[in-house]
Amino acid sequence: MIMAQTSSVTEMPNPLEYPEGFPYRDRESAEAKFGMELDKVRTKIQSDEGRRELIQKLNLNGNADKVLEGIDLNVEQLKKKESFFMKMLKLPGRAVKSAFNVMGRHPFLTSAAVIAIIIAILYFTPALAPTAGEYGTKLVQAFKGTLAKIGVGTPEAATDAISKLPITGGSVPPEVVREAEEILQSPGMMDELGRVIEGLSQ
Amino acid sequence: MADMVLHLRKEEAKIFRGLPKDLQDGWKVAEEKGTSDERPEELMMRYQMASFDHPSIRAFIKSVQGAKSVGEIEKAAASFDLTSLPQEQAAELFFVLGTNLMGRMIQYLLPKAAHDKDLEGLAALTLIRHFLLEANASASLSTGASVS
Repeated sequence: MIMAQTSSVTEMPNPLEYPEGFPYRDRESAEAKFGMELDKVRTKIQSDEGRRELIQKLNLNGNADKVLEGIDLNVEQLKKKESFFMKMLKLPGRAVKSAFNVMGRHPFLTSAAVIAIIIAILYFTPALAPTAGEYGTKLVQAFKGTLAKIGVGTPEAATDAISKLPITGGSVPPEVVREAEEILQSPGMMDELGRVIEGLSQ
Repeated sequence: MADMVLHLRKEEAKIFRGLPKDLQDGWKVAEEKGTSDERPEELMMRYQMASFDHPSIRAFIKSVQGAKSVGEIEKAAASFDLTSLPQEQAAELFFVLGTNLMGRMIQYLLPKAAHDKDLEGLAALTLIRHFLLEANASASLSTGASVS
């Protein structure tokens, strides 16, 4: 089964068809889908022959090159996540607690972090919160507001890289997908969120 | 004490040196030389990949859905006890926040440090950012291209 998605919420010129389950949240699910190790996927994406092989194996249609770029980005982040987690999980628990404690003495820092979690759940894993659409706009405004307090601005317009990113809700039940589609079809909200997240990288 | 070393960028080290001398005593500064901050599309992908499934988060999400205004959302979010999160969920959070936002937080917190406890928290934050910068430098896109 292929999940049809678009390259942008506001512009829908070429539907992109990502493999089911994209983006993958862990090595196991990605490697199970690709039938090979992550490093091998990335090696294949680098060559014309390898790309053809992946397109065939994953039964990609439409703008397959863009889909492969999305897959490459997903695999890259999986590897970075593994590398980060390996070190992070060795930290003594009291160190992490002390980090949260110092943030907690300035409530809007906690607020910014927690709203980031809510956004990750409501926008991208809506299975946990199927009524996200009711206050999605307020949520993005709250994120913007708390970030502004520590000097993180929101660009006027999103760059190509962020505005054309694949937006997915992952594997969720059909009734939840319907709710998610309502959110994703609200272009103003998603564009705004894209700009807020872009602001975080500046 | 969590860590006696603060991993600070040059501009942050200047702020640290402006703190009272007795507070600086006993603390070492390691220059943070990592420059591999996340690209916007990396952060967007991380949001999509994040897995926040701890029961306390689920319960919180349910409760915050009743918020009627931006202010209510902010207030509810500020009241969440981040220390209740297990280490793996904390790692998910920092991976999503990224190095730039962590840097902003560090720069905000540094001049306000008044006790060793504040610096302990900052030491942990700077170490976690250091881990992120190392991870960011460890793998780059095989095509060298950004998604656009």
